[in-house]
Amino acid sequence: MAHSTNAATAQQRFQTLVETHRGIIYKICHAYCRQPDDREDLAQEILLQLWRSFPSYDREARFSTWMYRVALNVAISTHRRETTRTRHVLSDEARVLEAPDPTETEPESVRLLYDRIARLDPLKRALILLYLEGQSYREIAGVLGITETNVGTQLARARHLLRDDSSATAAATTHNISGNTR
Amino acid sequence: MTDLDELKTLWEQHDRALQSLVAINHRLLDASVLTRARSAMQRLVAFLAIEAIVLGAVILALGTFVAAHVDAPRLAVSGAITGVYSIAAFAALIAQLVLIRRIDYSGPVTAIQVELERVRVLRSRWIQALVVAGTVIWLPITIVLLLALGIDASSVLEPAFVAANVAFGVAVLGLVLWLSRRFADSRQAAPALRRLMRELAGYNLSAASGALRSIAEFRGDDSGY
Repeated sequence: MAHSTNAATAQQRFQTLVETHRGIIYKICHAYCRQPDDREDLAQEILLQLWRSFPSYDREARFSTWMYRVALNVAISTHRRETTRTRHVLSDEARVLEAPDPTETEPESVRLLYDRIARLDPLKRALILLYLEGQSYREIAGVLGITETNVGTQLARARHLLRDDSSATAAATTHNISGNTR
Repeated sequence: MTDLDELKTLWEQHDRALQSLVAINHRLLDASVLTRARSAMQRLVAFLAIEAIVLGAVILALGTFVAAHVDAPRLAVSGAITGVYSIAAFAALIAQLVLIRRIDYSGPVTAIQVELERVRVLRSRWIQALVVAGTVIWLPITIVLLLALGIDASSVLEPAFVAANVAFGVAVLGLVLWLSRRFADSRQAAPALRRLMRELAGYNLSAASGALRSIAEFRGDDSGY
């Protein structure tokens, strides 16, 4: 009886916490997958892994940081795995996240931002996501398993890559515009 | 939009908008649904466990076979070679299972990714070793299997015959490797076959090794993994 009550409480806590931090699943899925079906597969895998790892969650720690660890591990390993369809792990009818089509709701700048993040390698992508989330160097180091000094070094490299990428995009746009006006 | 701080401002706006735009499907948050579902890793564990059970049964049968034919050296040696091959495969399977079961997804990202890539490396090497060794020891395996059907093929085990069959096995291996490299990325091949071809061609192994190198580089260490 006590066991089932504890299980129900754990489920309730899990639901509340995941609900509160649902945006993390959305952001990671969009950063690591370009196709809607792949995003759904990843969202399902993340949700499952969160549930399986939930008993090891330390209540003293920030849930969002723990969630980022689990979700990034799932996203990076899924990204590296050879693409074989693992569709509909949970359900073939309902989607994990119910969100409007991002091409209609997201401003162009946000789509460009995801595009640029997607060009980074999986680990740098994780680093940038954590930085954009406002996590401290210490927290980022803890999530990624690197030193705080290395966080600074890797962020500087990512900054250069994003800047180079931005310059290249701007140059290509200028080239296209001038080409079109000729 | 070139500076990280500008990106951060944009990200904060995006984050605020998400709270009202995104809803989570509560039906899928139910414990009964989540507990029933199988993740990709769990499916791999189940697959490995089935392989291990089958191999365990084969090893037991081979032990009985060797014990029953100690007075017929050719049969006993064939059984023993097949047994050693099966035990090596079994040990590698158990090692994969232990590695996978040890993975804690809430651990630091680079550490967990190293664990996952090590599983990939082990699995790739295991499949390659099975196929390469199989081309040499397929003859004793065939002898054991035929005897189970009541046919004693050990009488044809002359040295020249064995050499010819090993040479044939090596030639087949060469052909299989060539086909794997040629068609590993063919979209027309079934996913399972494509995966096997990529393993045999060494593509998955080099991808895993490359991933381990990039993780080590990211961590700023030179442990090499």
